[in-house]
Amino acid sequence: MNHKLKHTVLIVDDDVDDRESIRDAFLENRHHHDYTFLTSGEHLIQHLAGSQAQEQPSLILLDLNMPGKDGREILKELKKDKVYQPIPIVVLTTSSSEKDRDVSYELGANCFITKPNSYSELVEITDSIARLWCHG
Amino acid sequence: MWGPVSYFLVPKIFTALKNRLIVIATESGTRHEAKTKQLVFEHLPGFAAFLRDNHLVDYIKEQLQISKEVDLPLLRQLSHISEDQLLEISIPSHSEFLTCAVENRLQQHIDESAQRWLNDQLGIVGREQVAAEDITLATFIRNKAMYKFLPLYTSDVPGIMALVGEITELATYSETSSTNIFIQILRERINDHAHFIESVANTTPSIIYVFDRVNQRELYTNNKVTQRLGFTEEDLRQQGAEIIQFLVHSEDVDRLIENERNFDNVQDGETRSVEYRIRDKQGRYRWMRAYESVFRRSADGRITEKIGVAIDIDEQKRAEEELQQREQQLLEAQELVNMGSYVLDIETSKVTATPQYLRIFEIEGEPDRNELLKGIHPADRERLATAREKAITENGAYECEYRHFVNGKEKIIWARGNVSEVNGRKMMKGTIIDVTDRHYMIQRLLRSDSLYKQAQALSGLGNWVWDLRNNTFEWSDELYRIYGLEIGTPLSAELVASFNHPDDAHTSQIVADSIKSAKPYDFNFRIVLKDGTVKTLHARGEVMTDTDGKAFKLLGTVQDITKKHLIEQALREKQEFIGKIANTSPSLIASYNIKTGKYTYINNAFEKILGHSVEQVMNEGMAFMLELLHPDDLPVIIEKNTAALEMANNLVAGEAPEIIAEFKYRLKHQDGSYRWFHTYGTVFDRDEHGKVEHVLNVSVDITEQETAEQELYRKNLQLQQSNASLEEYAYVASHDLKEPLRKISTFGDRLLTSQHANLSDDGKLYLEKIINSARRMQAMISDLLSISLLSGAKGFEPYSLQTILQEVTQTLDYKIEEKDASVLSDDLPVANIVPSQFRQLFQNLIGNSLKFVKNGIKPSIHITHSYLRPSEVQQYELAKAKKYLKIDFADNGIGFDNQFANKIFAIFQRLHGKTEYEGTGIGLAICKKIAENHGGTILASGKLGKGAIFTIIIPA
Repeated sequence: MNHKLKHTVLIVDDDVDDRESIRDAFLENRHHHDYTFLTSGEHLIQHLAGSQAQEQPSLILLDLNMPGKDGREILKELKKDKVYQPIPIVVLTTSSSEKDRDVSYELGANCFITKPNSYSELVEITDSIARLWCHG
Repeated sequence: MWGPVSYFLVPKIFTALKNRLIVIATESGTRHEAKTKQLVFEHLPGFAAFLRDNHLVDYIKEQLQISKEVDLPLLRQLSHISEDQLLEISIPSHSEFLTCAVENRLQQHIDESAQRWLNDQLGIVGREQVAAEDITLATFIRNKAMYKFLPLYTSDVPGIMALVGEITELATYSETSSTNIFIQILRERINDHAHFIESVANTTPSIIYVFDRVNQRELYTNNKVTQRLGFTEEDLRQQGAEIIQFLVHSEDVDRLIENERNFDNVQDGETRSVEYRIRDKQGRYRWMRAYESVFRRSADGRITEKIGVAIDIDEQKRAEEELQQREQQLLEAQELVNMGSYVLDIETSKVTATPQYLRIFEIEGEPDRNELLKGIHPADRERLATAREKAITENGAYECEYRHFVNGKEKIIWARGNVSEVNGRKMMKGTIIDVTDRHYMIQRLLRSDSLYKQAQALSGLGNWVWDLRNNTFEWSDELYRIYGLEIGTPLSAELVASFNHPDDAHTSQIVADSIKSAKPYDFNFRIVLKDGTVKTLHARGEVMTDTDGKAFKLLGTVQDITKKHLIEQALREKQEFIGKIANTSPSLIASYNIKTGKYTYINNAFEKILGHSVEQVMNEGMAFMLELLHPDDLPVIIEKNTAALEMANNLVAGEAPEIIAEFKYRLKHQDGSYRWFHTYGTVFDRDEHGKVEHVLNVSVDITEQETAEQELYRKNLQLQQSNASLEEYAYVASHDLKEPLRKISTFGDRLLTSQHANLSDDGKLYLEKIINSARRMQAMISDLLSISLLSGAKGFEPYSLQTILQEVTQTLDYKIEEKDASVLSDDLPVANIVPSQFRQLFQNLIGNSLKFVKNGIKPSIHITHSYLRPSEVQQYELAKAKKYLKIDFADNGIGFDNQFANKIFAIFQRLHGKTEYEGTGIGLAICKKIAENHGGTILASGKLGKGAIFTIIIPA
């Protein structure tokens, strides 16, 4: 895994602990990618708008319940935009609601994962995610 | 009675007499002077003596001879006497004459003789028999006879001259006297006749008149004119020439005038008759027939006067007219009936027939008996002939219906005839009717008669006739039936009256009044039959009166209107009933005409509920109601109403429900407050085009309910809102509550793993306990949240429970495999459920069964179902349903002590320690909530160490 390409992964979550946990989880399995923290939906949009085309992230980890623009809205916006639509978005949320899951998939989320209660589970999950979208 | 002959003679006598009268009157004038001279002769007595004594017989014979020669009329009268007898008769008179001459008593003799003649004492002849010629000739005869014997007496010329002179004087005197007597006699006779005639003229009922044709006026008319017509002779004479126009009917005037003009060529002895109407003084016309004949001619033969006798033929004429009319009518009637009459002379076989007869047999001209006989259908000939023969021999009647061929057509003839002897001749008089059509009509008639009877029966109509004169009744069959009597039961006024209902005393009175006033009647009354049945009858009667206007017959119809009456009564009662309901009902009931906007009916609830008078609403109609409507409701009502009416008008009655509209609106009470009404508008009736004409509105005062409902709605809304916010709150709260717990969990976990080496056993233990507590708390919060979300009746749908099971076993797939459990079920049915909730339920129960397994035993879970009746679930106080679905979840796990059967459903209730089995103890509470959500319940029964059965009962 040391020779893999460096992917840009955006972690969008308003909770600092969650942001760091997610990153740490990825790193536990030596998925050394570029992890960018974004604290809100607007921040994500701004960031995306600011970065150049080539620097499109490989993956966005999106929390749903954020202050300001709701994660669901962001998801909807991004997936509607031709430019950002190809970017894989994994919804990573505390919500275990079926509804949220259905909505997320409807809006175009590539994956919906409820934040686990244990860290070890989180490590497993991020490992799967990285293998799926940050390979090669 | 005077025959026409007398009338013929009277004018004749008049003519003769009158003519004579004129002649004699002129002559008598001159003779009159001669009478006063005294008859005394010198020479005559001697000659008379000579004749008397010597030549009496010869003298008489000579006179007789001369009389014959001159054809003395008197002699003709005495032709029946022989010559000798005549001589004998004559001697005394001649002898006496001569003696008187001798004694110079001639004047006396002549006067006496004259008197005798006048007094009709001549002896041999009646005085009337002496004619005028007799007088003149008598003198001539006597003179001639005397002259013959004169030479025998003397040849002395002076003596002869003297005698001749005296004989002449005598002759003159005697002739004058005779003439005078003759005239007197005539006069008397004329007077007598005149008198006679006058009395005849005046006794005869006829009018006699003499008409002056020259001057065109009445000369004479008998008193009958006055008597009959009321006019006086003066009245009539005054009319002069206008008499005809005055007296005669305008239609007959021309005829009379014509008759008068044509009178010029009437012969003597001929009578012309003419008929005309004359009027009396009062202006009434009567028919007269006048027989007119010549009364007087002028010297040149023209008829100057006519005499007429007019007899009153009015009655006769009218009778004739009537007879003619009757005859005409008879012929017409016969024609109508297609009846012909005939008279057959048996001997001569001559047939005289009416036109209709000829028409029936299509005969032109005279009917030929033999030809007619040929036309009879051969099969009927014998029958007809026999009948006729019998009638002829017995002088009786016959009647026969037979077939007759008329110009190739077969006709059915009904012939009747009567044979009688008239003046010694046998005549058959009869009629024939062409009944060809009728023959076929009889069938129809019979049928129609039975139909009529049927119709009578159906309509319950009975006929009756009551002859008041002999107090008899005639009833039709139907009437007997109506009265429940056997057809033909003898009837009497008492019997009929006995049926009258005691309460209907007016019945007899009405009939009596009708008889008295001879006016028809029409009324209803009740009768009570023998078996007690009460019937209502409608009677209509007519009274027939005689010429005095007195009623002698009653006839009429009676109709059994019991049913109709009962129906009407029932209807009336119903109407009253409905009316009562309408008025006691707390609803407003009104019907109105949508075209006029006028109310046709309003119950008095209007006043009770709205305080407005019914009269006001009725008078002011729809406009008033619109004023009462709450302004906010008005536009909606109008719109809805219009739409509903349009729909109703486009639908046909019966095709669609007649409720056309439903509204809720407010109406203003008289006190100003508004009340809520729920109105149902229905189509009351439609016009002939099928368009809605009347609408019936029933409005219920829902003010209380409406305010309550609105309150409820408001509260519901509030509740929903609060529920919604509560849900949101719960969700957010639980989510936010769970956050810190999650952190505890994750960081605790990280701590445990990352600092594993640095932690002591105690430290690890404490940390684990912390983490577990946090996790437990998370679970509890989740459960709480899920329970709180289990509210409302949202999401019910028919869903297959078998599918739920499949879904749940899939979810629990891992655990089922892990425990090597078997989950079996019978074919679970479809039920009306909230699928997500039932998934939860199934998951919880099956999950429990998988959790509370007995060690060493392969867990098996059986899920079965059955249906229960409401009676079987009464104790559980479930939601009302026709049947209930029971689902049993039976496992072979550890079971439980049945005393805790209820306790286990309490929230957070655990029968075991926290560490023994995981779980918050909320699972069964959730199951209970779900079951209750579905209107059902959950029950548990367990056997410690054996297993548990959880039963769900929900309305099916």
